[in-house]
Amino acid sequence: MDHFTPVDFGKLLKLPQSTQLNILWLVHKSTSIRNQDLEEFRLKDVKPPDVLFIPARPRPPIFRPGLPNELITLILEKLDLYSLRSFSLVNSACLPLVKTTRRYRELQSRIPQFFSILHQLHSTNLLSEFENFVELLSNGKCHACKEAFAPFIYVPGCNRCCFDCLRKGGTKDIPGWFPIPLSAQEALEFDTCAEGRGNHLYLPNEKMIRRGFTPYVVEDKETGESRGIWSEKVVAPTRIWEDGCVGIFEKRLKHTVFAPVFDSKEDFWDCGLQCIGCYEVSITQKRFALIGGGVNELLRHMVNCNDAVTMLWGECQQILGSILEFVEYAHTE
Amino acid sequence: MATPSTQATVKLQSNDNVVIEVERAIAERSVLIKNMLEDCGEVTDAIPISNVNESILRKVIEWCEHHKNDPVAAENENDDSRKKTTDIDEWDQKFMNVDQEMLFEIILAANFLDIKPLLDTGCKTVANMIKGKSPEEIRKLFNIQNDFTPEEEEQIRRENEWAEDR
Repeated sequence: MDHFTPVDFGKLLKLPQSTQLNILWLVHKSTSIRNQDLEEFRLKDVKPPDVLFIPARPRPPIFRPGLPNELITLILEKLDLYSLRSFSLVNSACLPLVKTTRRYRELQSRIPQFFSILHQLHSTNLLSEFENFVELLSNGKCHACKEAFAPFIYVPGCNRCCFDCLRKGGTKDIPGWFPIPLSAQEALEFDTCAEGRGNHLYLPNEKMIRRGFTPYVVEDKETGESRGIWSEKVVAPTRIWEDGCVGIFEKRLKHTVFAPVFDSKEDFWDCGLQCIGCYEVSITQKRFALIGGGVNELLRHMVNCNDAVTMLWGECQQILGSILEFVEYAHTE
Repeated sequence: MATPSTQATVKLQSNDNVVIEVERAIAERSVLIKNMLEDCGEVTDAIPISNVNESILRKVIEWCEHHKNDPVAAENENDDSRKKTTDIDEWDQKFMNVDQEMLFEIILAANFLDIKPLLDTGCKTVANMIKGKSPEEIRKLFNIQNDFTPEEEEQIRRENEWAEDR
């Protein structure tokens, strides 16, 4: 150590007091510190580069004679989705105008998954308008068997489907359905729902369980106790994976989103989707009933529950905002 | 406010100094003129319509004459039903069957004179012209210059994939 001398580079470089961060280096005695050695450490008198303001590209009026933007917006408000998109690609002045339209903003922020998927697939049962979506929410019957309560929406066809139809593959009425082989169906073991509907799917996928599917209650045959199905006991047998059917099964599930349903006539609603958090809230704070209630309760639930919204819209990335505006819009359209 | 006038006609002066005499009830389809008449009472001089030339003014008056018995829309009738629908009645369709320049002039005049139903019809007409067309077709139709660079166009396409029609 004797051969080294501590050098305070901070002082040596004449750094301001506030910037002297105890830069103490040990330098060998034989080392002479030359001015040029310090040069690279010295604070440079750096000036910020001149900010160059480039004037905005002059934009000629879109229409001649030049209509003011508010009038163009009035016109755009009357356009459908596709036409709005086309117009946004016309020139650089058009896109900002399209972005100000209410329709664009709603679609862009609220329901991209539904609209993009359904439009892309040219679904015959196209949900092209918001009110149709609300209608879909209000009709809970399975499109395939026409009977069962259907908490899923099979996205390619925009069909509601019940768990049984989803599982059995006996759904000739729904085009594009992915059938599961009979052997694989038999291999599936599912607990019976205590309420007898058996309408919620329990996936052998921990991540999805954690996200919280509808916590329907099952009764333990041995003990007679009721419990939430997500809490334990993975019921999907492993051999379905070995049978190689998992691809089909997964594919079908990937094409399915959970959707709530409400029946205003019978004053019944079922979440169809529900996060564990909501379930706990409902149990502990009794903020809303699990079964019973009406449209307003459902909407309130969706407004207050980002998880529910996220799950409803599947993997949609931009949907975490309030859905209340969407719902209000759907009703006023 | 001035006392209500019993005046049967009013004179309107276009920006090219042509004076047109019209029934007061017809002129009052314009909220601007109606308010002006209510505020000023009896007006003997021609009312200058500074932003509208003779041909457009005559066209607007023609529309007002045809629609003079239509119920006047409520003040706040700015609702979505009016915004969304693009149905135009047959007479209006024929009325709006003019060249683009005149169509836009009519829209501007309707906006200036505050004749909401006419403005609405004009906007619907333009919207119907745009509907279902590709960007290129819209450019051709309205003679709009494409000022996007290829990169910008590609970026916008990507941003708009949510509505991509594949």
